Amino acid sequence: MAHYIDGKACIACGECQRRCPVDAIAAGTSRFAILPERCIDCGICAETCPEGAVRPGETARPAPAPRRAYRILETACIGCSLCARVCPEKAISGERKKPYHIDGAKCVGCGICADKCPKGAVERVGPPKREEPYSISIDACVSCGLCTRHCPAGAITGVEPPLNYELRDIVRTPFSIDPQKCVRCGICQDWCRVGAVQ
Amino acid sequence: MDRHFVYEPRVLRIDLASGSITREKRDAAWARKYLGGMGFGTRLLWEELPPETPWNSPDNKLIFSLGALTGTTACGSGLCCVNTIGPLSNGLCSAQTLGHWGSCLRRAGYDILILEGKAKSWQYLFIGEDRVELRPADHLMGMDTWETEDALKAELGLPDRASSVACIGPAGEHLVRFAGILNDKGHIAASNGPGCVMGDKKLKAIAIQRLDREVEVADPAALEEAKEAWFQNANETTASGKSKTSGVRFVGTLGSLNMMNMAHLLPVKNYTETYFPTCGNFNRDELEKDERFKWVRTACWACPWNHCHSLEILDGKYKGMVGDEPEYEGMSAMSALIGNFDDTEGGLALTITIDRLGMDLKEGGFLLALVYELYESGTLSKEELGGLEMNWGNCDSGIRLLHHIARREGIGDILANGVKRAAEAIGRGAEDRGVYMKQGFAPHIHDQRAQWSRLPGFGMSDYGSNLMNPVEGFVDKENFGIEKPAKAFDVEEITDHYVKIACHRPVDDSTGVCMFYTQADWRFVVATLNAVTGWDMTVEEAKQFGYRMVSLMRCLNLRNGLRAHDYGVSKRMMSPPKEGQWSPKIADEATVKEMFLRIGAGLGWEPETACPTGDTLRGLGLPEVAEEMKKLDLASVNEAVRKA
Repeated sequence: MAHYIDGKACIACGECQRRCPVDAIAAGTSRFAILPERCIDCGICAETCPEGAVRPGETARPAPAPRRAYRILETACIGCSLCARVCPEKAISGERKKPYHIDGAKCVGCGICADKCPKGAVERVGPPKREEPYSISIDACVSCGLCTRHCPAGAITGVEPPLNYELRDIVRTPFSIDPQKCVRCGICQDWCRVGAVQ
Repeated sequence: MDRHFVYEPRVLRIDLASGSITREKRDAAWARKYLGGMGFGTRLLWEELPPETPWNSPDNKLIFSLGALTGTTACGSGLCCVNTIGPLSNGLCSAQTLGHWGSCLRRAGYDILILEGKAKSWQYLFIGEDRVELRPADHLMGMDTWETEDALKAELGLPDRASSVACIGPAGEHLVRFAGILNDKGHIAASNGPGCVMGDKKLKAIAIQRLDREVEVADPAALEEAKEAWFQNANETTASGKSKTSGVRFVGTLGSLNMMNMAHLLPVKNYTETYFPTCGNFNRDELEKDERFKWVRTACWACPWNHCHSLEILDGKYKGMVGDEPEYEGMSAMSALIGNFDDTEGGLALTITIDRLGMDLKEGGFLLALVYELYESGTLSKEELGGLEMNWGNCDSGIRLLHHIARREGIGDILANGVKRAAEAIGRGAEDRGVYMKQGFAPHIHDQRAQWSRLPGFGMSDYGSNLMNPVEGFVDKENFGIEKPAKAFDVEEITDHYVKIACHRPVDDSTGVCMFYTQADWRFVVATLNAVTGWDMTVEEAKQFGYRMVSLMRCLNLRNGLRAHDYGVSKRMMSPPKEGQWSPKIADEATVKEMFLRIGAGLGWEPETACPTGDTLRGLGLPEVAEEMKKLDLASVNEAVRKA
């Protein structure tokens, strides 16, 4: 079982059910429950719950660890601060005109700093970056919106499931990646629970 | 195989004098006839009380009743209704509260809780998984409502949502006539003083363990479908959710403060003025931006709208005060009404204080406003007020006076009897300045002079201030035959609409769902009720129930000693504001009387006695009530009961 609802904390407002992208939440007569066979573990219900009644279960997938990392070569860095300004995670710090430093705990490995560095002082650790931008399979996407929330480049657009419960089966709103904006980091692929990012 | 489910309300009856606890059941036909909530409560009072029962008699009963939907997943279904004979009018009290207490009672296995007699010493009631117990409450005495809840939860080892507590504060303990019963930190059943009755019975609190159980319903699948369709419809109604600037789901009821001020519906300085120049400072948007206040969401049972919050004052004079988010009634009472035009922090501290002491904001607001006016005009001196300087908007003095009232100290002993009785006791022209209804309680914080549609709801109410809000702006052609809203000063149109929707409020208070949701199309409400109970009710049947309750409430009050001349509004409510202010059109005594007569005629009541006729009662399925009313002498008055 992935996430589960604590029956003693649930106040039955039903917001989790309305927001669940895969209809994995069933209503009882005075409480709600997550159907483990349907749950894709996206965590939207936990974010939505006003009472914190949705808890991660024992087998809930942890957030993906970054497979890639970047480091700044002290000898090449001129301390222009551009990398620190473009970093979406605010993981880079330092003093102007001195070598900058990447905080490994905060870095998600998007590589935007490496793209922007005028001196080529940011070096990738691990396998080389892929050439083509990522794309999302329309058929597989369940519009949970996890990829959008984690994309460091703001390249993914789409509409999260409508709150209107009636409309949800009629309106499908798959997400899409703008190839111009995509920085090819692969974070969306790590986060996607249904394997829709190719 | 599925067992056939029958909705038969389960009653838990507790005699506080002897400590005996009994469980009984009401049959399905009775449940359908009296629907739930205030319907159950009012009918039980009619069946079980002797005629002319004063509020402080041991015969008086305190009834907590739930609707069929309470505790289910239907949106906003946390409603609990408190019925008793109230100390302000010595007539029916029907007050509603939300939060989680009602849903906990339902899952503990009860629909109605009846408290009888008076305990010899202070007690509290605990309803747990396998036990119902009365326990001594001496250690809780003197605690305010927040402290009582925290102390009880710690003592029971059931913190946060693991239990729910309804309790009275110091005001209830000292029999302040407008004391309320608070539950879940900030939800209060207040109108007509149920907390005073609870204090009179020497019951400090009722704690219920939250059980992880499902409520049994007739058709769970139909419930899921019906409640969701209802929710979508409620989202689309203007009052509840559509507008981002006034919809309850976005800005709470406080969001309407500005709108009410623009329409001159906000009473300013005890009805002497009609415009609140600094209204913007007190609006929800401004208060949310203010860094001195911390808002934390605390939703009621099954409510997806995010409007309830707890509020903490982080900085300034009142640093550290924690209370409930101010609603429209609270904030308007503690700002415009008492002449507090600048001090937002003081206004919030006042609303928090009155909540924590366990008093009704409406009565408390008009009471403070009267004292401020009497002090400013020199009628009440500083010495009489125990050294307090009550200049318009002096929040510090207001807070201290509230503490005096809650403990009946000094002049607080007179003021604790409510606006009407306090004004009569003070004399010196105070009677003409007090804002109250002749029944004995204060109205909502609305200036009805700018829109007469509120007058009948206030003046004819049988159970505490009744804000019959649908009259203004209410349009529902399909269910009620109202195609356009009534004009503000058109007696004919207002009374006509009032009669058409008089059945609305009793149904709102009986389904077990917050009134903001029952303002939706009733076809969704009835469909959800049917899914839960297995009935085949129609909107017409629900309306019939509403009219049945309107007449039954009146009969109960007449039997309890109220007479036609006890209904109406005070002189101040029919007086123009002071010179230089925008003056609305004032309804005079004759107009008010005409309104009451027209509505009485529409409801099938006798013009002289305002008593439902025998034919009306029989038509509503109440022949036994008609028989009893025949025996009643409506020409005489029992002064002892009226003055109790």
